[in-house]
Amino acid sequence: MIDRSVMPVTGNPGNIKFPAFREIELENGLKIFLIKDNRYDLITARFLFRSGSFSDFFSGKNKSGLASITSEMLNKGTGKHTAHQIAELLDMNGALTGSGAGYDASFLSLTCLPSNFDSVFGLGADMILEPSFPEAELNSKKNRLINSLISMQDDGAYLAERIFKSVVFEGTPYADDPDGNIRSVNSFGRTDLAEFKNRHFIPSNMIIAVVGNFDDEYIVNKMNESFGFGSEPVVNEDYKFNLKSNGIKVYLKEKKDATQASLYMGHRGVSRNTEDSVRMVFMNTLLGGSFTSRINRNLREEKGLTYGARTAFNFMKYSGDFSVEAEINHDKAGQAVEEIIRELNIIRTGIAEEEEIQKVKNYITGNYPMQLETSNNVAGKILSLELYGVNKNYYDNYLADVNSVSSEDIKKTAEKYLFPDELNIVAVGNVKKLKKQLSGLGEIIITEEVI
Amino acid sequence: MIEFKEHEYSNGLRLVMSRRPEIPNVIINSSFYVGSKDENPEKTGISHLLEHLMFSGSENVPKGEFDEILHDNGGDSNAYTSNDMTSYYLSIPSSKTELGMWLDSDRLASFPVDEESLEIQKKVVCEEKQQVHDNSPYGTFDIETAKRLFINSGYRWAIIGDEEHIKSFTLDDVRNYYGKYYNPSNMVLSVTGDIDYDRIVDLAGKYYGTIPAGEKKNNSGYYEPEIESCSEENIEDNITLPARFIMFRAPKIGTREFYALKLVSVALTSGESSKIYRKLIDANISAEAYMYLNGMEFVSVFGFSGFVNEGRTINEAAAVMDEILSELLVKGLSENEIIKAKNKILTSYYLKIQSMTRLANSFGFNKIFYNDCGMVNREVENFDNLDNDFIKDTAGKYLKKEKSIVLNYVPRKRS
Repeated sequence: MIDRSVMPVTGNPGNIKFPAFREIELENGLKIFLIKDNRYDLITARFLFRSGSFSDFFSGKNKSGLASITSEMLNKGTGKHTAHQIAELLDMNGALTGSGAGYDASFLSLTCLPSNFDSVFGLGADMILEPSFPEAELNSKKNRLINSLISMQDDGAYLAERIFKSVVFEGTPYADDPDGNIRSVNSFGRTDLAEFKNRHFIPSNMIIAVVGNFDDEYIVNKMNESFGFGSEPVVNEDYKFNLKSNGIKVYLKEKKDATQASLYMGHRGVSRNTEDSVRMVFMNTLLGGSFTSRINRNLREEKGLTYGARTAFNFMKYSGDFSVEAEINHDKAGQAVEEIIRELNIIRTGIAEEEEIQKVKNYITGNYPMQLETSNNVAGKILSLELYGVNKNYYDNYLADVNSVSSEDIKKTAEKYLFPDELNIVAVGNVKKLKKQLSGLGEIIITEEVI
Repeated sequence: MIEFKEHEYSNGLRLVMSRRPEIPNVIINSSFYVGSKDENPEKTGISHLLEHLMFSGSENVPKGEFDEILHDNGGDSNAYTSNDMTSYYLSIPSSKTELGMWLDSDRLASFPVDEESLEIQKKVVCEEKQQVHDNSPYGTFDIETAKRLFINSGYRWAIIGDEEHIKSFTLDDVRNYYGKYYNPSNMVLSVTGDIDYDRIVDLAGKYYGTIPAGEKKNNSGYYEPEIESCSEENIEDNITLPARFIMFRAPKIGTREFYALKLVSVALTSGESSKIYRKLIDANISAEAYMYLNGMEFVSVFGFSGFVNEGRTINEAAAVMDEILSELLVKGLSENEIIKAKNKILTSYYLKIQSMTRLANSFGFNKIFYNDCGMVNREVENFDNLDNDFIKDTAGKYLKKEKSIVLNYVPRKRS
């Protein structure tokens, strides 16, 4: 028999280097990242434009969702093909495609076998350079998006997040859903899309990543032929974000027949290129970013209040936020919020034990290679560094930086980026019950309409 | 070709391994041949509750420490319960493979669950049921479907189980269930990643091979009377947009008929040139519509879902959905549709096999139900020899209107 009472002694994790990639700059300044992977017979081309819903804000009054609909309409007709022809050709080539927009970028991606890349890429280039945004197709797309937005209103967790973003970023370019709202989407015409495309979907605003089994020279030539031309520089859209300060506020939204409350709370944070990024991710992992984090352990494993509670720093290009989210029994909402606030105070004032810090170091270090398992993931990380203006050696130093975090750093980072006295607490569910549960924390505001 | 090796131990444990040395981590997947359909109809949800409790500690892993030890060693874990099996998987740096096996096997060697853990996980599972089903738009779909599509077998209740049953479980209930099904002869261990085959055979022998064999669960058998006539019902839910869900029973995975119907679901759903996209989404009837085929041990579920846009009616969606199905029964698929579906399946396959977590899961599933790990290498060729006559015949056999169960989700009427 083996002696199970002794935990086996095992060695340290092996080293892992961020996978090699090539960065090529065309004469017009367009950057292309080549991530070779010959294990699978596939090529993925990802086209990223440095404009997302942040740019909707500068496109005129109530243009929320314009970046999103413009990117989703790229395959709906070009100077050469109708929407139906494009769909037929892409499907015949077995291509998998995607497009859309987030806060800071829009994208188009194409995946296919290397033998089909020529024709799939040809269609993709056409879609980016000469989309025609036909009226009938636009109306159909608007209809679909509006119905999706209507449907999302039935989801408590979505409503809670939406209210949170709209109050935390009130009046700023990050207040609205990147997919827009029913009114804005309804108002879009072909010229809105064409103007957005002409201004943002151009080589000077583009980053390309190509992943998979290909010949470098072939790809670079292809990209040069299609996107090597000079284009107007994109107008710098500047917005100054100030940290808001107004004490704790509680936002409640009625959701008929809700049997659980959706909780989303937090406050404004900072942008992705902050020099504190690694320390923030580290502190968050310890606080509520993993299964064994303090908040999940407390709310789920010790008290059984929720299926799961998570915290996150959501980094954007010019700002960010800190959030805590959980779905909670109505009658336990007060207790859950109290525990969360208590944990935020503890991490700001107490010193974490060395053992807990070491656990987080080991957790991040040991799991990091899993993030590099697929080349598409690697490409995502490279594109994100480029988009957010983070140094390209970020991942070369990542594990060393993680392993240098001290308990003092955690406390300082928590003091600098967590504000338990400035929380926006959003709860969606039965307002009568929630009012009782969440009274005494701060001003209560009833939210009527969510857009 | 995905390379793999197998080994069998004297206590009945079956091991499958596949080496992927690119990143220095391993996946350890323990899959048990027991799921919700094996439950006592009066005690539903116990498979899934037990899955939660398996993280609550064992003789040498103190209560609450399973994930703490795993995280402290650079690992992570998760698990899921299906109708037919329960799967636990952890990832860990390959230098710590032995520690991962020690952790995972200790809960197979002993199960000292206590009252406190049981009561907490009962609450967590009830909150999970609220979050995933009761309080989620269209979230009761699994529960409502199961009891209509199946009337005799254990497929007639949903995996999450009945809330009253969950609340009533005692320590004896979970211990008995564990004792009956959680043993080496009733499981498959799959290890993928940065491994050395011989060393894994040795380590698994040391940690799992020394646990008493126990009994392999008998094939529980499956009987359901034929569905003779179409049933259609309205379900009220907290939703704004109605939806129509059409479901049929279909053959199990591994049969030629299964792949024919899988091809149908891909052909009619995948891509913007597909019939469902053009006739329901482009036509502004649905914002979302799709077909799917969910394979289970004895049977599959073929589904066709259509969500109804504002200003349109369930009847309009129903007419188009019925037309798509009846055209399929009369004509099968077009040559173009078949080619496109096969091409999509190939591209998707290359994306899917990139994950060693998914690969370990496939090995567990294929070994348990088909005793055939090589299935991972035939996922594309399964579709090679399907001609339209066969596709049409299979659709005709299984997707006739009178064999369907239809649920119309409609907004709750308020007084």
